[in-house]
Amino acid sequence: MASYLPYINYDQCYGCKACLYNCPVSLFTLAKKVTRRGMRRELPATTYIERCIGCGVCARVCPVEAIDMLKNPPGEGEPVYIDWDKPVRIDPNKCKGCTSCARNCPASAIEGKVKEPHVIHEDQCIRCGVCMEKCKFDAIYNSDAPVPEYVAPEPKKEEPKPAPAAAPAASEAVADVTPAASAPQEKIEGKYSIDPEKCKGCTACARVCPAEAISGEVKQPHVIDQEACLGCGACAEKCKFDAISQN
Amino acid sequence: MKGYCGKILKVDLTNKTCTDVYVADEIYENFLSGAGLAAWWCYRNIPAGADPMGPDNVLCITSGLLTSTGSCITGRWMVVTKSPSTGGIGEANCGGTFAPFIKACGYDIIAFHGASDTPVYLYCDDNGPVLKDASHIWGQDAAVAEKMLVEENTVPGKKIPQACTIGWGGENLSWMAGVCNDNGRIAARQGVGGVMGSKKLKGLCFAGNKPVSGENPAEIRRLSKMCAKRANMAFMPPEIPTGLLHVAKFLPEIQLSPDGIMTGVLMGTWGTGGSSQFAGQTGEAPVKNWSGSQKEDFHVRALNKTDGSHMLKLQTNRYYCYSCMYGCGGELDISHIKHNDQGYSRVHKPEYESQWDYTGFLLNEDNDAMLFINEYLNRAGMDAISVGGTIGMAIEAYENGLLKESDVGFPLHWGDADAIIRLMKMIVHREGIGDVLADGCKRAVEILGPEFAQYAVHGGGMEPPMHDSRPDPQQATLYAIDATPSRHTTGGSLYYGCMHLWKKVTWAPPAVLVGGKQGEWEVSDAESLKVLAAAYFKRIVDGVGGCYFGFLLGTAIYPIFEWTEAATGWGNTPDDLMWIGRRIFTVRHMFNIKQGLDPWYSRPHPRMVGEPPLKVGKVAGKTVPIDAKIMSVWKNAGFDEKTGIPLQETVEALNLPYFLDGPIENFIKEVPSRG
Repeated sequence: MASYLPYINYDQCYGCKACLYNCPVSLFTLAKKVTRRGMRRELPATTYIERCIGCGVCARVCPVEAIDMLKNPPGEGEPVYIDWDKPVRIDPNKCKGCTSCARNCPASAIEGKVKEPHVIHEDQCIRCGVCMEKCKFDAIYNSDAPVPEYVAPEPKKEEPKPAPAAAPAASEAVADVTPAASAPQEKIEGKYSIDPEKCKGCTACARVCPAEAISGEVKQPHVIDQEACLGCGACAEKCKFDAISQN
Repeated sequence: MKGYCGKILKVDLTNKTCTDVYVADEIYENFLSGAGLAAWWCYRNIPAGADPMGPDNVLCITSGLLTSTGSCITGRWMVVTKSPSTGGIGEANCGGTFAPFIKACGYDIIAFHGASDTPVYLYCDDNGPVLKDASHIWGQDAAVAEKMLVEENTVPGKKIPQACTIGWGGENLSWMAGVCNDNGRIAARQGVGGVMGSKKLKGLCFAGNKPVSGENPAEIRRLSKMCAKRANMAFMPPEIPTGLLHVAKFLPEIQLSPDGIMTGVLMGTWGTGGSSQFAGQTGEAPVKNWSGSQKEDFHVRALNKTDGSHMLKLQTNRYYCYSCMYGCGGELDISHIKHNDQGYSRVHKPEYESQWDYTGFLLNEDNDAMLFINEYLNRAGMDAISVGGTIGMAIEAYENGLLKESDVGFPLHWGDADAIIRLMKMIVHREGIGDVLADGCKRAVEILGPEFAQYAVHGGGMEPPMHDSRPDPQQATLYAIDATPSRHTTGGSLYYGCMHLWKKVTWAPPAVLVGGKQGEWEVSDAESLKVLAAAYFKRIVDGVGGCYFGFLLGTAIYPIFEWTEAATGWGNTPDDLMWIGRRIFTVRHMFNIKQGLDPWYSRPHPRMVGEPPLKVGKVAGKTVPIDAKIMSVWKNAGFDEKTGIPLQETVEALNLPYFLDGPIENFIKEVPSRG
């Protein structure tokens, strides 16, 4: 669910439906409500609230400020409203190409390949601010400042592979040394984790992870480091075996 | 942004291309958006002598500067083009839900140039505009077509599109056809739907999400809260019988200028259809094709059978147009009424115009027939006012022997509901004599012969609405001098009294708050200035997308001037905005003159001004001195008093040579649309 959800104050609402007709995901429908002085009218209601992307357009178009955007789950902070007079742009040098913004854009205005800098098509952008909220890398900004020149990062040097370990003496009773299996990490809400029963070890997720939080051998179940995971969901998007889900 | 998008979408239907036209800020500063901007665009792009039903005509669909900025009661959309019925600028206005969707696609106007050879519709979303094939929808009525367009373009989880369409009337190129939206609301007048049909354009379907805002949203919202509080006064229970309004028979002698709260209560409780009792009693409503009177021809018993309270018994719910707090709209369930051979069930409540046009105007006491006709015409996408006026002409011609049963196919008498319904259907489908009548009464006279002219009540080619101009000289003058003649939505003496323009505009004469109306028959500069104040103000309202019922609240409660200033920050006083209104008013007249119209063309039919006067009622024996009134208005508007042509000094004072004759490249930049 979105970080901020609309709440309609029916003592104030006059039923003009500005919210209903401006919602990019059509989450409002008309419902019979009782208003001031006990009048019964058909007024907008947040019927499909699960669709909400938290853009706040409804609260802004309401002529009488009858809609509040409340934090979901309740907590600190005010919704961050976009300045509609300024464009929303991506700094390619901060963008990690996690595709989280593109996947959540209600106007399909963001283009980019995995692990490559993304770009917002400004004439298509509806300036809802959802991408800014989703971006974990602080790469998206709302101002007239021009998009910085992209400087491709230096390619990483290959680390020399360690020499193969000497074969243990056949006679030595070798205790079944399994690497000290670390206790499975506690799942953190909002981050992602892999179901070891479904994982085929294809390594596709590890290759797309912009935080390099996924480890595992080929054909072995992979593991997502909960601390390192940024919750962008690129891995879940990539996985063909439905093995990754958000906690 | 300052409320407007800064772009016009130019759709060339001949070549099937879409172009984004970026328009200079100074055009908006001098013509506002909406119908003002559209008047400028039409003047610049429609050549002199263009055939209104041909490819040289331009059809503009537009919403106003204030739409979606956070103001209230500013959700109207307009269609502006060259009208086939008048030969001059044509304009139609509608509420409903379509207005915000035009701006949400990033455009102030969608301008259709040329004509398509096959049926098409325009679809636009965040990816840009695209023309799509409409052959599978051609032939459907307006409401069904709209539903089909919305269904085939709805993407689950995304914004549900809105559409506007033409019905059978537009497809049949009727000069009385309009453009529909929201299941039967209609921008009806001046044949704009026929122009759309001549371009083989079935409809528009929009689902964009571009943000719209004014420069000072906090100030806009503050004004909106003040307005909303006072507009939403409809707390009277609808069970109060409209028969109480019998008291209204005393009103023609008394001028009332309340600040519009009374209209708020009436609209909110009954919708406009509730006014028929009031209108019938006061003589506001013309009877028997303007030849009779309520006293003689439509007895109070008949009035009681057909007044608004009957409709309310069938009402299922109320609704509000976009951004409106009145909620004068309503829906009825007519599944069980007589005559309903189309299976209509949930329909829009008829407005006063339809409601009176098919009851008292034609002496019909069958309320069910009126309900059915209203819905049939909504589906057909046709103007109920003009169709009613044309039927009135046909009935009167028949009753006086000019039309025979062999011409019509069946007897045609006053008050014969079945005959009226049958003739109405023939007009919609252009069958038999319906083909002659389908373009309005002025055109019918050209075909049938000049002896019919005495029954063809029109002003400039437009059948007048159900607001009798005989007790209201201000109304009569506005019917005559507006560039789109015979429209009541500019004002009249009751409405001017509600607008309270004198509170904001320094030169608008005050109306007497309570008093006699005798002064209105005089010809004076003060009376002419009232007419012009209303006319210029309407241009502003149409430039910002405001609603007529909004400004009936009065400019103190419906702060159009303040909202416009908060949205744009241009530093305009109300007088400055009225100057812009005057500019738009003058351009529309210049459009008509450019198209070859003699300004006297819109002199109302003699019956509309009491030539000869009514024999009974409050204005028995009175005639409106319409010629003198028209000339006085022209003088005060800076036009030549005798010819009605704007004087050169007026044209120059309004800076029109610069905007109208200078190269258009100075004001626009064209870029192919993405889509």
